Amino acid sequence: MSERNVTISGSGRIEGGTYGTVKIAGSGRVVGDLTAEEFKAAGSAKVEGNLRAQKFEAAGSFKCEGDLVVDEGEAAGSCKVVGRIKAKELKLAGSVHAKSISGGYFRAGGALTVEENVEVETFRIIGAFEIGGLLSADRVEVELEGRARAREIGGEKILVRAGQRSLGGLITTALSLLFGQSSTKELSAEVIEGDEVELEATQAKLVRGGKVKIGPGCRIERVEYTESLEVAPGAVVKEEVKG
Amino acid sequence: MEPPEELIPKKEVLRLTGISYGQLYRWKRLGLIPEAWFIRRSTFTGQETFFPKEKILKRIEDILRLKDQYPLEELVRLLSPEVVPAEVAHPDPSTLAPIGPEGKELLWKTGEHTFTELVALACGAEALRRGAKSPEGKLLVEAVRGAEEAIRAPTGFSVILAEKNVEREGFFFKAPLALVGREPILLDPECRVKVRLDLEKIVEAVKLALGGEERE
Repeated sequence: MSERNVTISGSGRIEGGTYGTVKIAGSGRVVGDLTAEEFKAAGSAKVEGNLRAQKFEAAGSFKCEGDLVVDEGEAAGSCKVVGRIKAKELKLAGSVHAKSISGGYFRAGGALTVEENVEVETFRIIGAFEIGGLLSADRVEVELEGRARAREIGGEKILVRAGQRSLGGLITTALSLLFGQSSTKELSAEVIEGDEVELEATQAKLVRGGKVKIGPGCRIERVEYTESLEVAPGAVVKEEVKG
Repeated sequence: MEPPEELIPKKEVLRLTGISYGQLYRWKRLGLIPEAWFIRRSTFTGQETFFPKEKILKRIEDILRLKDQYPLEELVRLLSPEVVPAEVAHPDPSTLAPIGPEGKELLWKTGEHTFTELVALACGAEALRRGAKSPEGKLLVEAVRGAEEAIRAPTGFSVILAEKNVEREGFFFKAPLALVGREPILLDPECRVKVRLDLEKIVEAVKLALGGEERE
């Protein structure tokens, strides 16, 4: 494998291809598919193709017009991927957009928009999201700061909490900038299924699971459970079915 | 026409097999249960997911039986029809159970066989076991050999051996017909279907047999 390293400082563009390390500081454009051991961008970076990297770091504004495939990735600011994101480990802060996300460990703070499915091993988010399809992970942990929506949520353990952060916090401020002024903290989904499900501030048509806890602020049409069900005072469950 | 596949709701799948939601979603994520098997339908309680009953129960049984012997990632390669092994070069197809001794008479060459060729032979051998004649089996093998695309994504594909009554200059005879297509397949009333195989099942059987060999 060639070990070409390339750095853009200021403003510039590079051709796609296979590289060792690619660094962009300032404004950079990659034309075509890029494979790199390491991709680091600060400022504004745009990849006009697929990006494949073992290590990926972006700060500021990053856009990829194809798929983003990384082993280990971190992005802060605005990260827009027109294609799919595949990552063994991914940590994001700010606003993120992708067609779909799959992989291992996923952590985000901010606002996440995914057109199709998110399927990972671990999913942790503080913030808000809009997922067009299925959100699935062995462990789904959501701390709501704003509105969150997914068509379906499924996995082993699903935990949804209404965030306790006070208004004026950095994330809340960022979210209100992204989603307009709203202090609503609410998750909505058609179906939520898990072996252990603990919900707060959630609206769903159907919640199904083994051990189910329906916490404050929930409105659930129907709960089906096999082991146990707890419903907090103030939560609304229209129909409970055991078995 | 065969009746459409019987469907089973997700909840029933979990109840019958004893698997957890965690397992079901994990296996879907890994590709052990194909996306195409998740069928969303409206019911009186809202949206519900259904599965093709026979396929999902068989698949879960296979996963549960094999998961202690193989890492899950390896199982994906063995079980999932969407992941077709590209590098197969099998020297002796009749040693594979889905082809077997019946398949020997269908061989058109010696030496290495690709995955597509093995699947074609397995279809032909299965047809012979179900009473097809040798030339019919060979015709079926020819048809499947050309269906590489279907073998790569076999969900919903059937392999059919039929015969058609033909009249020529006052003589009546039966002409064999082999085809690979996506259900529902409609044939004219002059045709009689002799063998109808689910391509997905054959692909899976060949993969499992190859996987079993690798371990020995």
